[in-house]
Amino acid sequence: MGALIGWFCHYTPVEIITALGFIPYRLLGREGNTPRADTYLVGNLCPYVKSCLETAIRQELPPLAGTVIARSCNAMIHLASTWPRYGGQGATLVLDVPRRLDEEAVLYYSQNLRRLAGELAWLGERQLEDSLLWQAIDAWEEQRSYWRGLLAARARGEICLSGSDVMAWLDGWQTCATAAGRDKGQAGSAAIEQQSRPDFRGRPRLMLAGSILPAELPALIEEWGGWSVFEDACNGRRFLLAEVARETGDPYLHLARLYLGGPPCPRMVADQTRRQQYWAGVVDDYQIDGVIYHVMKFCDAAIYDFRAMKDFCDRRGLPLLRLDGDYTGGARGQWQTRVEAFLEMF
Amino acid sequence: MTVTAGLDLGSLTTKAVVIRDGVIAGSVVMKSGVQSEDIAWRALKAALDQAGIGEEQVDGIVATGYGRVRVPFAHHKVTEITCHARGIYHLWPEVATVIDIGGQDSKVILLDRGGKVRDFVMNEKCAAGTGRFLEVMARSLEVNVEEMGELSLAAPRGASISSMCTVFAESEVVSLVAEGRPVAEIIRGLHEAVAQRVAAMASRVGWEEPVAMTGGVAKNRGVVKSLEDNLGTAIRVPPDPQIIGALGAALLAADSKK
Amino acid sequence: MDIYQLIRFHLAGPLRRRAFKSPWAYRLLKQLVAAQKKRYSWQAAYELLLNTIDQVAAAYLQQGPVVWHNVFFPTEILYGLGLVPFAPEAAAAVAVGLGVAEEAFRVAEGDWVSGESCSFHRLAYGCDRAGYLPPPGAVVCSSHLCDAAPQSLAAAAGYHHVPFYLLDVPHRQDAAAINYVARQLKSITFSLADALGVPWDQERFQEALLASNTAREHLLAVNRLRRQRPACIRGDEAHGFIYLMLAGFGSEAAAAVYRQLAAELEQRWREQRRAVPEERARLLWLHLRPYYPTEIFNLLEQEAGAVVVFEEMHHVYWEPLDPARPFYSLAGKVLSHHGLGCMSRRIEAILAMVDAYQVDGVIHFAHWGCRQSTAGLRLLQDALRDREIPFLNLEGDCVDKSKYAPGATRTRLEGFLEMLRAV
Repeated sequence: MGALIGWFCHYTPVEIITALGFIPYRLLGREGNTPRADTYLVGNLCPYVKSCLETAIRQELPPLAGTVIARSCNAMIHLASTWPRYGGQGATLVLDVPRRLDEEAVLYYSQNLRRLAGELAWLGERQLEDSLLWQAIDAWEEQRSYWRGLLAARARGEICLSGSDVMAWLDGWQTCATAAGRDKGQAGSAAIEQQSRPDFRGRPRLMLAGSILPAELPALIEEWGGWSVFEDACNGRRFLLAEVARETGDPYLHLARLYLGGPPCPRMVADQTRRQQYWAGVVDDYQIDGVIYHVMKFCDAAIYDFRAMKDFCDRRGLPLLRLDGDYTGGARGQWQTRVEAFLEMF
Repeated sequence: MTVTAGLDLGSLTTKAVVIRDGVIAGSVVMKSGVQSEDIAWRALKAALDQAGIGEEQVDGIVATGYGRVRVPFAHHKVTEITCHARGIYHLWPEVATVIDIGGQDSKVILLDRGGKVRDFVMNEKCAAGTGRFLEVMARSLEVNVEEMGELSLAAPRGASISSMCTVFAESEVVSLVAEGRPVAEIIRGLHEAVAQRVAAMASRVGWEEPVAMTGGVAKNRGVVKSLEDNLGTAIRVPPDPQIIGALGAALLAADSKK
Repeated sequence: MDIYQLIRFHLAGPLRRRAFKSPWAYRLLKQLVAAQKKRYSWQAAYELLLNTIDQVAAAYLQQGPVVWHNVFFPTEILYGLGLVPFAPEAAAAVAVGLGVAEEAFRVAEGDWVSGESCSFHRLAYGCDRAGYLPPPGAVVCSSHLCDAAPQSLAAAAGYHHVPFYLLDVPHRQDAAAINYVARQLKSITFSLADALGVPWDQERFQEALLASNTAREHLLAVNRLRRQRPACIRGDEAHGFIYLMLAGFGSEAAAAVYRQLAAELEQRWREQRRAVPEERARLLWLHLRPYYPTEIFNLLEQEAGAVVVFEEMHHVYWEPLDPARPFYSLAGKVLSHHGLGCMSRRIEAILAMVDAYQVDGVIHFAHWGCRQSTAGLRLLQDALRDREIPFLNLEGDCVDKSKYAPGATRTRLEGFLEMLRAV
């Protein structure tokens, strides 16, 4: 049984963690406000990052051998400075992730990944051989492709799955403390597939987009009469990446291409055309009727990404609703009126 | 005999303290009006009358608080940070940390052994943790702000208030009322939220024991209790916490005469 | 509504917008400035102003291909290509003084660029959409130090349908990072030349790097002079020269202004002309300051004799450039920024400034919405506390004056000064 390695941003290659015999554990924060983290990080900073720091300070996390912090946005950069001093247990490993997708970026990212593997290996007992890494890559791709298939079937209406179930399973999958637990999660979801689920057909088919999604949001939207059929967030569909042709040779190059080439986060600022193409594909493939965009307070990327989404929706004639949230679970009342009014428009 | 006066012109109330040879001889608290010059003078007069001292006998006046710059007859103007520190040092020289929650601002002040300000931190712009925040919430709940302390102590638990942005919190409070949560629990939740915020400020500045609290909100036992729970220490509250700034100002006026 | 108000309302905007595009306006402005030459207490400031007017005119009159850049992008590349650089963030600071800020904020807010984001970028966004900024031929931006700049500039490029080039800057400073940045710089340079149709001129490019080195040398001389007691320039006066750090490196003008400033400082030092009659305390200023009138510097320097002797933004963090290896050495410059990487790097740089400039206290101006400078302050505060150096985090907004609270600011500053005196 391997030790746990914490991670945050979905650009973190869990394959490397697994290949070294560790278990990747995603940090998703906690419900409620963050008085202790507020001591170390200012008020107007990403609430998700503060929420994660809060769980660490309160010692609510399982024992971690280390944590990989991808310096993917400004909030994560500051978390990387603060975590080892005030919160984290075990080693803190930082990873720089390019904000662009081209051959230079892929090469540089692959070099960073190789370095990360070296640093992680130092924590564990074994050196990372390429063959082990390829095994992990295949194992993860198998699981992701299963999930992608499941979500595509949902979108085609072949199976009835609520967005809230999907989010709950994905959360469980990402934070599963053991490999066995992960298999169980997968088995569980497969079993649920067979059962009859609430039938949302006929409801407005919504894409949820934006910053990391609060786990309760899809459930609430469904409670209020909508149907979340696609969750474009780093704890939703984005985390499942996209299939890429298997490289031969350097597994780190393959991983770099896999992650940088996946559905882009708004942080990929040099890659915005691809993000718009991605939205267009989703809207067509999943017959999206409307979009709900969740802007995490103080997330600069989401603030500007919402602008881009607004232009996109205007062009496509899609209704769009913006919800502001602070990741504390306290915005329910505000959201309800907005979502219900939005759904009344359909 | 040395007679000095301290005036603390806050956003909501104006406080005047007159001391004679280091002992409080008169003190008043009045609602601040728009004309702070006038109110300052009236407060001073009232405190002097209470002490039975004539204006001409006053050796020095120090003004503090937001309105301090508009008191032309004050000999010195000192911020409330230094004044609260001085006032508490006079009462309890061993106190290391002063928490002052006022109408506009809340602050945590660290004192050195000699009662001097070693460091301080004040509330962030976006954060709620002030008397004003509680006042806005009291209005949403249709309760009197003075009653909040007692009401909250009667509640078995606090409702969870997650957002600390005034606007977010207000909408949360309204939702909680709509859900039928008892008002006392909501108030206790608000107090806990304020206390958490202030405790975070205290940690930022590296607070040390013993801790004292001043300012109008210190009269709210609910907030004091929550703050004690958050910090894990007892908090000393002077009998009249609102006048500590003015007391400190009067003491500083006396210090400058030595 | 008053008819005159209505007329002003309808005319003021278009008139101002047109004025920016008229060569006469700049000639007039320069004449006005020149007529008051004697009234500038620093000739370097006078020269800076004239140069800036020229630069602004070049952009608005489209005297060459205009390229928008963020303030951390190495401008040597733009000067080296003979382009006209234009920094929307710096323009935002100017817009505050021109009375267009309110309108611009309204435009941005109405376009969903919400108040939680950096107001420099909100203001630039609003100014652009309201037609106040010279349209770009291309937009370049580095990803350091903040997230708002790349987002906002990418949006601007999309709005104007011009190419956007991102310089992706990692936080490590190893060989791989330098190579990665250098290769991007090279690619951006040649893509710009290609897209804007400017011929590649190696000599001109190298001259820009040499000009940057000269400016650096003179700035180092200025900084050496500022280490001495008593201070000969107030922080209030020195702050304006930060503009060159953000938009001037690579130009001959920047080198000339710093040369002039060093000469004047040297002379005043010899004559022992003090910045303030009695220097009671020396302060280090972190980040920027408000660009609308406030009493901050007056209160600190004139009233209390607490002189801001150095600004973090004036720190020369990089080594001289090597014109023989332009992209590699520019990459080195970019990656040397002390704000990159772990916070401990910035803290180390600040503590070195504390020692070098013999400061008694440190003030950080926490510009609302700026996460990069503000978020990790606790670590800095702890480090300064260990050294028993008083620190004030002064919250405010550099360009949105509606966020300025005079009373609260005064209380914080005076409280800090009282603490300084007690130390």
